Amino acid sequence: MSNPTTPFGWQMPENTDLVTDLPADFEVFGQAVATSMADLLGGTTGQVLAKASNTDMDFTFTTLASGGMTLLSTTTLTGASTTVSSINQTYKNLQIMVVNAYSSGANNDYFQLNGDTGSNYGFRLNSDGVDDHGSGVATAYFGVMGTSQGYYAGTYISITIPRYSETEYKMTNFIQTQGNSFYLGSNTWNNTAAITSFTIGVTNSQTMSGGTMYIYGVK
Amino acid sequence: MSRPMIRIHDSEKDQIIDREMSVAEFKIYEATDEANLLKEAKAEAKAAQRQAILNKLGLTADEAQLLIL
Repeated sequence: MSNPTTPFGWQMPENTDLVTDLPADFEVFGQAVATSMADLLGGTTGQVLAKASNTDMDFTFTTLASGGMTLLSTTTLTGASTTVSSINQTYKNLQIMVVNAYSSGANNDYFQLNGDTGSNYGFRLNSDGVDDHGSGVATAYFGVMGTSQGYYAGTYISITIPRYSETEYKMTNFIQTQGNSFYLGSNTWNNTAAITSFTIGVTNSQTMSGGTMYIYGVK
Repeated sequence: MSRPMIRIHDSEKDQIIDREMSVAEFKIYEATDEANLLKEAKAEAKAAQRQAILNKLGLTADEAQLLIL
């Protein structure tokens, strides 16, 4: 072993040092080791060690940002519309899943944000290969909600709302499937408010007869 | 005649309220329904036009799809 040590450079006693100097020599050695390791003290359960800078032995304990999805609400669909309000604002994106929904009559299903019933939505929709689009309408559109449940007959919708809590124009993307129909689309909202409530409904005086809407917050 | 029912789920308090639409909400609902009917009628007309063209050409919808790159 070299003296001072490699790679840390801790000074150890020399062969020629007097025995009486050993306590002082070890004090120098021990303090150098302790100083090098100082950043390894501290931290709390679950934290990990990260580099605090590019400098050797410069560490800090940190809590890793948690990712993944957190279930914010589970709501059974009913009535002409179902609204989930007071949506938690601490996530980056919203992921909404509508599972096995059905209604009293096969008609368009739609959504509205923050209870906005004004002509403030733009939609671009491809339903079974047929394009449809428009702006200045009072609802954002999905597709057609079916009239029965099941893995094939039920209506399933996956909706993503990126940056929902930001004060900027919002885009929502969705995929819907029901029976032999497939809908793919994107809606925009002419409002920059953070989204705090989400309403799903069916048109033409129909009512939703069942199904579940799950809202997840995504970090 | 009673107005349609709606559900409001406060996700923070996990409280669910099922209630009839208010008069104001019902007015908006009816107007929206009317707009939706118009939109659906337009979509149906577009689909009918498409079918008429396919019929003239003697193509099925699947065959027409093959022509689109």
